[in-house]
Amino acid sequence: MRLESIQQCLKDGIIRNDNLAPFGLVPPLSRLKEKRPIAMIECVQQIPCNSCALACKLNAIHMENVNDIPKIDFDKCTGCMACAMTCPGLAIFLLKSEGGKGYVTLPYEFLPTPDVGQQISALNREGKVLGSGRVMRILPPKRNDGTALVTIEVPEEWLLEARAIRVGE
Amino acid sequence: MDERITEHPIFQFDRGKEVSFSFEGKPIKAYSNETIAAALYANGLRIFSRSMKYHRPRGFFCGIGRCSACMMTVDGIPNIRTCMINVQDGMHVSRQNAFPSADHDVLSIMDKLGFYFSLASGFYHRKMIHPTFLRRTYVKILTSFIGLGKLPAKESVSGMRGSKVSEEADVVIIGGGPAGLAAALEAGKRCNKVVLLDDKKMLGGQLVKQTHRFFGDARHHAGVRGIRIAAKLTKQIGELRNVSVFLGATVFGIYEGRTVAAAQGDRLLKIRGKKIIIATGAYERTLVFENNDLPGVYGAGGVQTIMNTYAVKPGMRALVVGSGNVGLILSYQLLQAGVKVVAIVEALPKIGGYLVHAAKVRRQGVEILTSHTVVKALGGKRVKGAVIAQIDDSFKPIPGTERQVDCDLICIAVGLTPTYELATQAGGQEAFVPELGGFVPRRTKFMEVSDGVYVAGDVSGIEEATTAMLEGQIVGVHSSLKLGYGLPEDVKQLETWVKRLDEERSGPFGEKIRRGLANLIIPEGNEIGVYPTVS
Repeated sequence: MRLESIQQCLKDGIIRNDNLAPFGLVPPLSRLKEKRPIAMIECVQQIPCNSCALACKLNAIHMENVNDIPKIDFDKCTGCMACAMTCPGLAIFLLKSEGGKGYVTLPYEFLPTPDVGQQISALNREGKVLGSGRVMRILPPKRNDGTALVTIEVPEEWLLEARAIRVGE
Repeated sequence: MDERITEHPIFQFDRGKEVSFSFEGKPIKAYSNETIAAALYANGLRIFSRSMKYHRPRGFFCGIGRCSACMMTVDGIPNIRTCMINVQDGMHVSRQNAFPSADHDVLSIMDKLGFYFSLASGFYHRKMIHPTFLRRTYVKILTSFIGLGKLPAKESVSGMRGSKVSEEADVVIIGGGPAGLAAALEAGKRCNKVVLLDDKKMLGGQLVKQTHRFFGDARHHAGVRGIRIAAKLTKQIGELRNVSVFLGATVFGIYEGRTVAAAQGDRLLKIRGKKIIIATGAYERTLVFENNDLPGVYGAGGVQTIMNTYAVKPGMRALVVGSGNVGLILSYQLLQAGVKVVAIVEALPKIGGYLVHAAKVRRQGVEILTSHTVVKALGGKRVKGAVIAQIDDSFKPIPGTERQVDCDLICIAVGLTPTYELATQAGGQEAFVPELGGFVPRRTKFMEVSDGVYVAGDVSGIEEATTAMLEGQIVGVHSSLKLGYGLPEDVKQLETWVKRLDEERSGPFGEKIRRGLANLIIPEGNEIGVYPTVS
């Protein structure tokens, strides 16, 4: 199941929710509705990297060795963003659902840097435009060596879909 | 036309002060921290030279002084690799062996003549030999069309006076990339005198263009950008007063008594080392397809150099060939520089690099076409498009699947091959190991290839910068210990690093490396120089 998932992803580079599920990386719906955001790690390959596990001060991310696939403890995670700030694969997203809206925090390394309140296009994992979203919060790029963390507000059903943004056209 | 990048999400390029130089009579605005090639590229130049025999237009390919496609005449001296030296105010630069100019070279008729006679290269050696008495004249005329540059005029070389520098050192390190820097740091902390040589103007090797964050062990640079690692290591080297660094020094041989010989401008460096560490890295491979020499077809590393080291936009629309980590990372970096990536083609039925890298470009809308290849580059003097096609199990294009893509840049990211030559010259024995990128030197567990000569980094097999740095640390400490320096606990430290290296390679991505290394390592107990045969 896991192997098939990876094989499927390797054909076109899209890591779908179905491919992430066998790895236990998709947070349960109930957890998404909690007050604290939850990290969703979209990393299913055994690559020699453990930056997220070592960045997590709460030991919510577990790895047997440097090549292991990260396992996240959804109860321990507080959505502090420490893992997302350092992940070299830009593969960690923070999700939260509140009042029928979805809030996705995603890494962003392009120009221009959006402003809080600005309308942006939310893209899915294939780069297709889902629709528009609004920037709610931003960790400025200069605070994190070029990688901004942008929190966008989107319809709740895009929580597991919106993975990139396009600013301006 | 100015294609300099003024704003980038990750880095800022310090261009230095504005200078002006003359290019074939025209004044060109440039900056002192730019190489001649980067300044010319930024000003829109694409034809850097004409090929030696058929006068086909050639562009910038590798950007790191390996491919020779950018050689020009600078201040009267021919065959200067313009990607290796910085511009200076008042410099005179011109392209060579083209008439009347490299842009419109009438001698490119040589390329067409071959077709006209429907003959392969060197047709005139067989055809233009009658009548016999005219043979010499034919040869004279034809050879004058061929070649590279003209000998410098007397006045341009009269001021040059070669000098010689002789030095002795405990450890001599060739190459200042991740492996060489790590080795120099460890050796420098322990030995009395260490010499580090590099043919570039700055240390860091290929790290200087790696604007992305690195994977790896978080205790060992993971999550840190390559450019920051380069800056950090370079700074640490600068703090060690017993490490002498020679930049712009091309090592051309290792002679008897472990004497490393290098040319640095008009200076000859002769450095005798008790131990030598070869960390020369790798070359980029290219791919065979129609028109693959057209300006606009560049190595992935070359594109990274022009874009990330010199902040010049390489083109508007790029086709990337190869979906290994280099191809994927390059695609992402192209997007960051504002270049549209039209597609990534991959010959294998699956993506070669890390999925997370693929996902990063995929969610920006870049298509990754597996089981596809580039068939042909379109355009006369520069790339104006490409033909791509789906391929079958035997890598043959499937008829009817060809389609044209609109691009002005084709980036070749099909892998690297080790720069192993110096190791062989120094007594090492090479073996052909496809898993490691081609010919690689056989070595012991501690990377010794012959008595007192070590290798580290990509030269010993194509891997990642993370493993290169570990190898550098291992050889730096091992060579120091062998010379009687260091502390007893260094032996334990050495074992820790060897273990960590094994751990890095223990995953599925290390499988190929493990297979490659299996036959390559000279077992303990075997004398170096006595090599078991490869089966």
